[in-house]
Amino acid sequence: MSLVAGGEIKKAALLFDRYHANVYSYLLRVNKNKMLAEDLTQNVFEKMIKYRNSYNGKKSFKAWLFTIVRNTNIDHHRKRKYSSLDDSYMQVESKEKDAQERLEVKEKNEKLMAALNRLPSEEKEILILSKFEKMKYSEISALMGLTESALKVKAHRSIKKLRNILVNDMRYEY
Amino acid sequence: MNIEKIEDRMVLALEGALSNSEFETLMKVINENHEYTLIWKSYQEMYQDMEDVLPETPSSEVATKFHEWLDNYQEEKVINIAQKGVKKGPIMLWRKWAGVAAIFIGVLGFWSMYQSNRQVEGTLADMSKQMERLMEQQSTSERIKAIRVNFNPEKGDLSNTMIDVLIQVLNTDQSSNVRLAAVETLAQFMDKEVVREALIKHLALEEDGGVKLTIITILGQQKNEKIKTTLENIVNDDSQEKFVIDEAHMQLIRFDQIDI
Repeated sequence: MSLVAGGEIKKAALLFDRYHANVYSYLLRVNKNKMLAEDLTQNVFEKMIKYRNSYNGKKSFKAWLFTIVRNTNIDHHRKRKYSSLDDSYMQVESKEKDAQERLEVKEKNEKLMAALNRLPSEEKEILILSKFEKMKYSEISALMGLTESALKVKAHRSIKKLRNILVNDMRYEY
Repeated sequence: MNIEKIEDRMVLALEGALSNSEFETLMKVINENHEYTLIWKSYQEMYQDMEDVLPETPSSEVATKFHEWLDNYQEEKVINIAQKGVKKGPIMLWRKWAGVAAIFIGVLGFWSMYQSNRQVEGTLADMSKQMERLMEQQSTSERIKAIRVNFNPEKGDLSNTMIDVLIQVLNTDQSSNVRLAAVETLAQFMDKEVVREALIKHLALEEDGGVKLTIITILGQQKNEKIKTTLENIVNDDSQEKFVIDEAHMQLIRFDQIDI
């Protein structure tokens, strides 16, 4: 990223190749809309170049990038270009995935996502960033404007709620 | 321990937040109770499932679109440089200002001759050259280069005149990239009151989010009540972009570790 900030814009292609799946995954899981997630992914990387000079290397590139990702998503919903979220994402994904081989893992993924979607949006986001994107609590707390201890408490509660949804509400057998 | 507390301990164990002895005690309790064992197993498997979740992959169209956009972005930059001298508005401003600067340098030059101080004379001549070089640049990239080369803090402390020049660039240049270069250079001289004041004042006028973000980040590293007030005003200003508010908020958190 330092090279991109220094004017080597072409290197941004490498950053895109490395991180676009993470960015897209987050946006898809949060929004449940493939088309929207793809559009916002494009916007995120355009902003990454536009604001490249604000990257000072003091936090990890991924944490800096996710500040842009999160703000892009929030700004989008403020503008409300898309009138509602598309819940059909899960069904579309299911049809595509049925044709694939690793059905057991896919089924687990889908159950997990369905349970995750039943959590309040803040708790869902905390789990997506910490468990799926493997970001540190210190990075997420800075990103979400929470103290690290407050974030850990919320993450702890979210985990318990998620298991409760899976086992007691969805009757998922472990 | 009731079941609620046992569950809390299980989550802490899976988060790696228990000491070895705490973990061993927990395992003992779990192994002695069938219900706890089932709950523990479900937590373990849920964590494993979360670990196994693969990133989703967007359609190849996303990558194609971005690479096309990146190519066009570069072409745009090349065209801007090729069009050197075509835009008149900002250049006229620069020339006018360059004239004022040249007169100022002339007066200073005369004074230095009067003092017969060769060292001062040499410094002013260098300053004059540097400033002229900066003023002559008409493309954004050349002006940025002029700042980077002529205002290199590694060359030593900048004189007040040179800092004034940079502040003028920050307040008048129409290119956000040039303003950013000015901000980054000024950031090396945050020990000077005039620089801190200039950045605080400019923050209220700046329209580009990227420049604002950079100034906020720089200001956030200074422990100063005036800067704290400036950051607080940004956090409470609904007209600011969300990411600017977020950054100001983050700097405030770093500032005193308590304002949430």
